[in-house]
Amino acid sequence: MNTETNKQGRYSEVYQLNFGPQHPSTHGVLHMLVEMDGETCIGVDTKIGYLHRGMEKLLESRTYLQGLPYTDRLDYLAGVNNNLPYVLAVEKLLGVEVPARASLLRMLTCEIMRLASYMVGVGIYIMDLGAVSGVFYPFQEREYALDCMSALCGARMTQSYIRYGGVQADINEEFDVAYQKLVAETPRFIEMYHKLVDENEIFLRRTKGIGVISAEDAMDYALTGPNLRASGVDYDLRRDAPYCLYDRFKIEVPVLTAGDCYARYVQRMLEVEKIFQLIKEIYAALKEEPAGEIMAKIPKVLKPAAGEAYAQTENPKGIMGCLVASEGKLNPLRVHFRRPSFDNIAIFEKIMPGHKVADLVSIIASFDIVLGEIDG
Amino acid sequence: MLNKQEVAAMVQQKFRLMVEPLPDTDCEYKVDLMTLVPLCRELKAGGYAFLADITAVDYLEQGYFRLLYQVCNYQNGDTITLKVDVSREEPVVESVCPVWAAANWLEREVYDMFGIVFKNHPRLERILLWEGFEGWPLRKDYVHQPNKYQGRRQLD
Repeated sequence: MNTETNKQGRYSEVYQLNFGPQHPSTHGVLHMLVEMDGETCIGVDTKIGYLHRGMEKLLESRTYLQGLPYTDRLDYLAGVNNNLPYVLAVEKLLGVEVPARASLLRMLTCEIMRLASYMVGVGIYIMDLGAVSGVFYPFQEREYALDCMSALCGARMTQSYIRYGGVQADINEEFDVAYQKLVAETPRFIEMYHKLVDENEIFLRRTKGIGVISAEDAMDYALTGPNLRASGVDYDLRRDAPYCLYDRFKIEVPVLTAGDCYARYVQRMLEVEKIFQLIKEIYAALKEEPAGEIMAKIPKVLKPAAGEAYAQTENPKGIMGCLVASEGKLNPLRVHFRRPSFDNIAIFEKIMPGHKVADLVSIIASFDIVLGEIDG
Repeated sequence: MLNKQEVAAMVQQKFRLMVEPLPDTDCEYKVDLMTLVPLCRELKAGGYAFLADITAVDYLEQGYFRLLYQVCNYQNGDTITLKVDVSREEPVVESVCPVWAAANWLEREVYDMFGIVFKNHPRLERILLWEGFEGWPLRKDYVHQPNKYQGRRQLD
């Protein structure tokens, strides 16, 4: 074991602490080998892969339609959002034009699941900091969002709702009822949660000034999503490189500059308000859109043209990308996913040294990671 | 701040023979092995600060790996795709870690799955699989051995 003198001149032993892989605050099976000097962390080695299922290898041996439900299992808190980049990439190779109504339905479901995912993000964050009651309100709110999805396609979490060429089903009366419930409850929830959490002194002390990421570091390490925007970089694919029909809508993107854990929490809560506005706008547009096709004409057996296609979407955790390489056969030659959580947590090794162990819990939770996505 | 057209002009001016724009697109380039890092530095200086993705495709019959780099611009949302072909016999590529810190984990993942070696990478180790795993699972000639790592023996 090494022996060194620490900053205060006291004699202390540098030791290693195994943080995870089995611990509630690691959100799954994330393993960090933390080098400690007394109570202070001086180095972090992040070890991942405990949940690696070989998703990319599995997709190579399945047809395109068989492969689609696998994508839901990456970020299992927002299944529909994961379908989208894969489907968009395959559609690029197929050369399919998606009906406008199907695009609007895709956007509506993506925004509803984005809301649901943010609810888990903020709820679990509060719980990891010790306020267990704080998790129940967002989960109640999330349930309204999942009810919408359940009414629409029959599945709560891993929906596989988005299909090649369109979507699975059109909105129905049951969906309208669930949607009205969501619209009625969300503003009340947002107001209540701000009152509950924002000025809680324990919460402020655990989050303000912890895990600060500068804009330069955020860009260098390719952070995306709310974590990037909380550091002062104004970038949202829905506005800056629109896919589906996002260019029809005015996307407002809140940006904060502090870059600490508190900013990441506030960023999510501000975005929840904007997402809620966007859901209402898309729903109104969908009601005005004349009833029509929700599926393009695509062949029963999919054999996309040979080539490589790449599609990117803005997911709740960040930017998700999907590469599909085809040789014109029944199954893809290669599928690759850019999983936002994977790229986000690479910065841990940079920001964690200098913090106490309790702060590491706060930093991990503030990133809103999903291990299914990190390990792929 | 370079947009797609300005990148095309820059490539034409500075990397005329080494970088070849691919037909039917305005943002995809086939890049020579030696030119990759200089081109990446040039792109970063031109505002392409966001390295979104690095991945590889194994073209077994043609005898090469194709590496794909997706580089994005925060200001205008443009994405440039760089495609680098490297032979299967000697898969060695220069690392772009000095240009973007994000390349560290992305290149480790490619190394983990394909065994492509990135020169000057600060720490080229397996990331998703464990040290001691044999073979490169996403290569097309990888032979899957069921139960090898399951801790149980197959009956004779």
